[in-house]
Amino acid sequence: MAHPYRRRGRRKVCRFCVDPSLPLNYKHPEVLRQFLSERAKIVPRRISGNCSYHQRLLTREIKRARNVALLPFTEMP
Amino acid sequence: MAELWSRYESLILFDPDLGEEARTELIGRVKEYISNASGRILKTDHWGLRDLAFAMKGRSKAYYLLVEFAGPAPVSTELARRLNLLDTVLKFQTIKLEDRLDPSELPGPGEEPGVPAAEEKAAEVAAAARAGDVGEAEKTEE
Ligand SMILES: [Zn+2]
Repeated sequence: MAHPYRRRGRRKVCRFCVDPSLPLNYKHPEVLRQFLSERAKIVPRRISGNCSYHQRLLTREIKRARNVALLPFTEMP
Repeated sequence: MAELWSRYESLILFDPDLGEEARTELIGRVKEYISNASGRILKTDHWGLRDLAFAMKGRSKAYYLLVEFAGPAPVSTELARRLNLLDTVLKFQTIKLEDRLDPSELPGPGEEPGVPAAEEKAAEVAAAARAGDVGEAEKTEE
C-alpha cells in the first residue's frame, strides 16, 4: 500500500511552526519529551521535521530541562 | 546614566526531606540573597514536590521553586555563590530572560512580592478553584 515515492510515515512539517501556541520551553518537559527517542536522545530534525530555527531552540530547551532533572539524559528502552 | 538591570528566572531544587518549616525558612533566606544583592523578586511559583528524571544526591524527588527576579548584573552570580554553599539545594539553574532594563520601569518592591504575595497567591488559587482548575490549585500550595 505504500507508494514507492512517499516517505514512510513521517511528517515533514515543523510542529512549532504549524502551532505557535505549542510551548517550546524547558518548563514544559511534556512537549520536549515528544522529541526524545526511546533512549532519551534528541531526535534529529531530518526525522522530526523541525525547521532549523526551532530545532536549535529545542535542543537548548531540552538541555536546560535535563540540567534540572525535568528530562533524562539517557534511558534504557 | 543609571545602571541597567537584567531579569532572571531561577529554578531551584530543594531537598525533598526538609520539613515545611525548614523549607519556608530556607526559601526566605534565598529571597534575602536576592534582595541583599540589590535584586528585586518579581514572582515565585511553587511547583512543589516532583519526581526527578534521574536521581540526584541520592534523592528521587525534589521540591521545585521557580523565582523570577531582576537586578544589576552581580545579582545572579551572588545568588549562585550562595546557593552553592547550601547542601539542602540539590541543584539550581538561572536563565537570563531580558537585559538592559531600566529598573525604574519594573514593579517596585512590595508591589508584587513580599508579605502580600501570600494573599495574592491564595486569591489566585481561589480563583483557579472557582474556574474549576483544581489541579492547578493543588499544585500551588503555599
Ligand atoms: Zn519551525
